[in-house]
Amino acid sequence: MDEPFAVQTALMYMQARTTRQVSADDDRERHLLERVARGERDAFDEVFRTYHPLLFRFVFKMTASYRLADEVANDILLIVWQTAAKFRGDSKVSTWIFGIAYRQSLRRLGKRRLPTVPLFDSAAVDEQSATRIEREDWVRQAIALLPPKQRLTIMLVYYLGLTCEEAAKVSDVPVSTVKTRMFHARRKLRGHLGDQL
Amino acid sequence: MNKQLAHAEHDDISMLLPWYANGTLDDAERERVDAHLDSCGQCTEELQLCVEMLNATMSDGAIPIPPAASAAAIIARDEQRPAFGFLRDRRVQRLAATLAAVGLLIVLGFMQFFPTQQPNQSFTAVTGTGGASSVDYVLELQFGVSVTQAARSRVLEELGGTARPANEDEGTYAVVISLPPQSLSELEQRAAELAARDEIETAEFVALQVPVR
Repeated sequence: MDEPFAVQTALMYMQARTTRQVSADDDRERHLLERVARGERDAFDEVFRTYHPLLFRFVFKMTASYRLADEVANDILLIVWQTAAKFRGDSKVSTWIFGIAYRQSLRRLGKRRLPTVPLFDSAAVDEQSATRIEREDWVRQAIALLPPKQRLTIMLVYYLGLTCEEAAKVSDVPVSTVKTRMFHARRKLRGHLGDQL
Repeated sequence: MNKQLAHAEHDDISMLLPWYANGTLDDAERERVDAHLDSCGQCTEELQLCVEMLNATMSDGAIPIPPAASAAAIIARDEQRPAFGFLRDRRVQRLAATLAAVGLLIVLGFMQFFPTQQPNQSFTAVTGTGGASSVDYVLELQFGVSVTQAARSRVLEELGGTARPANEDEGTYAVVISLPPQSLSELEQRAAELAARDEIETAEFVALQVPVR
């Protein structure tokens, strides 16, 4: 029996693969993207199932907006559908898709000041967990105060788990720039966090 | 290891810490970082911050699942795109504006070098030629078919200037008249007055001759 649509979507998200699992399967992904370039809908559906959960979470973490995250994740995949034939094959498919995600996110972040959102309910957790979660929350809010390029680089490295070279390729900058962005982000973060650490 | 080299190694390792934290360093680099961390309290603290940043970005608890996500919806959106939807792209709009501006400049440049012979523009140019005292206008006159040669000569004599038959059988003459610079409306008025005469069928100023200085 077919599952209801919402259940299918929830399952898709629960079973979503990690970025590293995605990157590790590049040969399969290249073949898939070739089929997408030929307009094969079932191939695009597979790309969608693999990447939408990752992209949605990636953008949601950057924007703290459910609506915007959905919109941007869909925009990114629309670009993949429309321009799959332009993939030159000189990088991993995942790097190419995250490159689109990086540019789309940067474009949207430039126009938007991030809200700081309380992300946990302190009444629902024990004291030790509360302290840990509280510290995480401080760090998360301090990250939200960083300039968009530093914030996006943090997401590429920590959330998507990219290597320095991959992050450089996605951002279309030299490796040294990625390292410098991460270094300055850390220094600024210390400044924002001040006594909290 | 001397002090300078140790400092350079410290800076280098400090830059690698985010990738040590996310587990993507190769074996050799990881061993290098491990060795440095054993003796560097500052980098150990920095690594702790990197791990906290990683945990803060990785924690997914509060992220909702979008209910309406589907590949089919995206393809449908692509198919519903208007045929000229690309015109809404700002880059396309900027390119179009640039091309229009370049086109306009080319046209204006062309007109500068090859002015058209439209009376309106020519007359404007004439009135702006630094106050030429007189301009030779070419008037095309057509007499009525029944107007005698004598009557034609009389009219042409009244007008002054030099007349040259364009087609004598049809009664058409080109008359060059020297006048102070005229506006288009003055010339039209003058032509209309001539055309109102019984002997003349049509009168029209068709060209001018700018005096050569």
